[in-house]
Amino acid sequence: MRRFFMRTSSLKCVLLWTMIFLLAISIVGCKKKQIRGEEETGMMTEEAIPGEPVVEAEPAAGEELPVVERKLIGTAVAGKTWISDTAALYTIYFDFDKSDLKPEAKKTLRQNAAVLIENNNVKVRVEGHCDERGTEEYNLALGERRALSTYKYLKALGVKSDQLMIISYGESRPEDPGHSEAAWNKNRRAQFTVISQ
Amino acid sequence: MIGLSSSCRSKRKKSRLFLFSIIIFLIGGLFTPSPSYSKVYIDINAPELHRFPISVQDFQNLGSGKSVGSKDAGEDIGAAIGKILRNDFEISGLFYVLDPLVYLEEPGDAGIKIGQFDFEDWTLIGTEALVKGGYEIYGKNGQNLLLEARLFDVFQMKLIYGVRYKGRTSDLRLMAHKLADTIIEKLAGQKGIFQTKIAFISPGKKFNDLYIMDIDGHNVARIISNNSVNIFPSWAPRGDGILFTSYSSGDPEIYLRWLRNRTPVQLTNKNGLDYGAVWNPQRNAIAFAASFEGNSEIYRINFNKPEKLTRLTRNWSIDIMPSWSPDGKKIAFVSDRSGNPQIYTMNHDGTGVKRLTYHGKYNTSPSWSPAGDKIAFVTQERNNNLNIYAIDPDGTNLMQLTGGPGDEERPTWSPDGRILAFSSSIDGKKAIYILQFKGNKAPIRISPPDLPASQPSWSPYLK
Repeated sequence: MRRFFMRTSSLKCVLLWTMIFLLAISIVGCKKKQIRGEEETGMMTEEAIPGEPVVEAEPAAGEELPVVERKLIGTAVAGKTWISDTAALYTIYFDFDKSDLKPEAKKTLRQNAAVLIENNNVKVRVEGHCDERGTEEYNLALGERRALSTYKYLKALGVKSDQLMIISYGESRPEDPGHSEAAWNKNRRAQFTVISQ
Repeated sequence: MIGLSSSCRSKRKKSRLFLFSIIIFLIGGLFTPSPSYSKVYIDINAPELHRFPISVQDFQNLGSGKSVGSKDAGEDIGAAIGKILRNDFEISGLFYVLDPLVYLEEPGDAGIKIGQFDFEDWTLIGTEALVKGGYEIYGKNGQNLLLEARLFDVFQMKLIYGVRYKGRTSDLRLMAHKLADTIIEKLAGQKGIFQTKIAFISPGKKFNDLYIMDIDGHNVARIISNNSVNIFPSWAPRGDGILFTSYSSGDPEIYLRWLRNRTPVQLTNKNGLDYGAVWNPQRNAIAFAASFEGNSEIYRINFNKPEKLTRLTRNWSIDIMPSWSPDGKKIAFVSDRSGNPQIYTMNHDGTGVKRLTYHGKYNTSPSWSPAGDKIAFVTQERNNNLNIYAIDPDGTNLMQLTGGPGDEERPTWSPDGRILAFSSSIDGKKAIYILQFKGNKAPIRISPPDLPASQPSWSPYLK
């Protein structure tokens, strides 16, 4: 009798667990379907997109713009800067990564110094330049060093400091836009520009 | 409820307890949300990045067909959106973007909502995520655009994200980039960078103009053009302006170009060179190099009092090219105090100078990453080629990032710290490229093909 009852209750237990199991499945299944439906209707959010922030741009290329840079008379052309009808200053050149003056450069500067002393009303700007190798920002500093060593030598030769200014253009204004050794040699330079009063 | 004999009593108690706990568990299960949008599809912190396969179908015209212009113009919009999204996902480095040529579903054959298309068409080609969408042009002269987009999890066959944008048709690219950024955020947990911009210069024969552009090279806008040399742009920390160096008053000086105002503000006015200005992320200091005291040193000014300079370096050598750490406490810079240019770091007040680079004879252009864990810079190799490298701020983990012919310069980080932009010069042709910091894909050119471009600076997040 006991055995019969136990078997009965075990069977009932099994039935009970099966019912619970099926119930669980259907609940979870229902939930999935429910959420998928939600996804479709409740999911879409809406946003108004404000326009691109205002950027005041320059007019398109091709329009005439006033020249802002001070007028420079007597700029270096092919290594020579005329400062009057008869007098000229000559560009000097440097070795790669160097700012010290080579013997030929010093010879040229001795000539330039004589011209500047004789024309002592003329003010010039010594421009230091680099070739395109190396980074642009470091080349700005290197160009300045070249202009500075030129300036110091001219001063030592007797040129008045109020006749001289220095500037560096780094690699941004090559004499020769080529990419060969020959072009690079022409670009590592200090050249002279006459500044208007 | 169930009749049990006394012999089952102990079993019954246990069963009841067990039954009770199961029921509680099931009831609890009813109320827990299904594992949905918190799933991380792309782990951006994984050391090896697995590219996540994604498909983007061209968007469909949902409108009544009454749009401005011809039917062709309408089709162009849907294809344009698809193209922008696919290109953005490709550039981001996170995805393997499936080519539309391999899509099984013909365009126009199916809709964009669940139930309107067959997921199997997409699982078969191996895509894990799918972007579908539509657009509608409306309003006077077709000036308004509605974009509807859906991002699907193809394996689980469900919608991850859906959104509608309403804006102007002329802002189409902006809307597509915003969508790309948001999809990237949903899948990777970090917002994309496609609404940011890159400032750069276009070198001319004698003069340089300053520009900004979108990350994909579109929307190029010229913002400084003054018949002068304009160089070294760098963004203000809120993305509302750009610092740059200009020769327009004779000497190189520092200027600030607010984006909303065509007239730049001059910040320095000293003899000698003033250049390479960078604004700290805390927005209270601008560092730059100036040579008015005899040789190039690094100085700091506050934007609201630019006439008061604080000198940071004291050295007979060239000290230039500052770059702020993201917490504003340190500055990386270049000095040739050892005899040739190398990278150093110092505290923001100039104390604690430490040399960082020891390899080679020429290391310049430091750029500190947004997370503060890396400094990218440029090395000049023995054959004079310039290449991008990276190093940890403590001087360890030196990595070479570019190689081969051509010169790479001026690395600048995306605000999420995952991509570097830089200028590359091959045979004198200058263009701007980007490179994934993690992963070894080749650099991609982003500047427009017909415009020489160099000296990039990546904006902060703008939206």
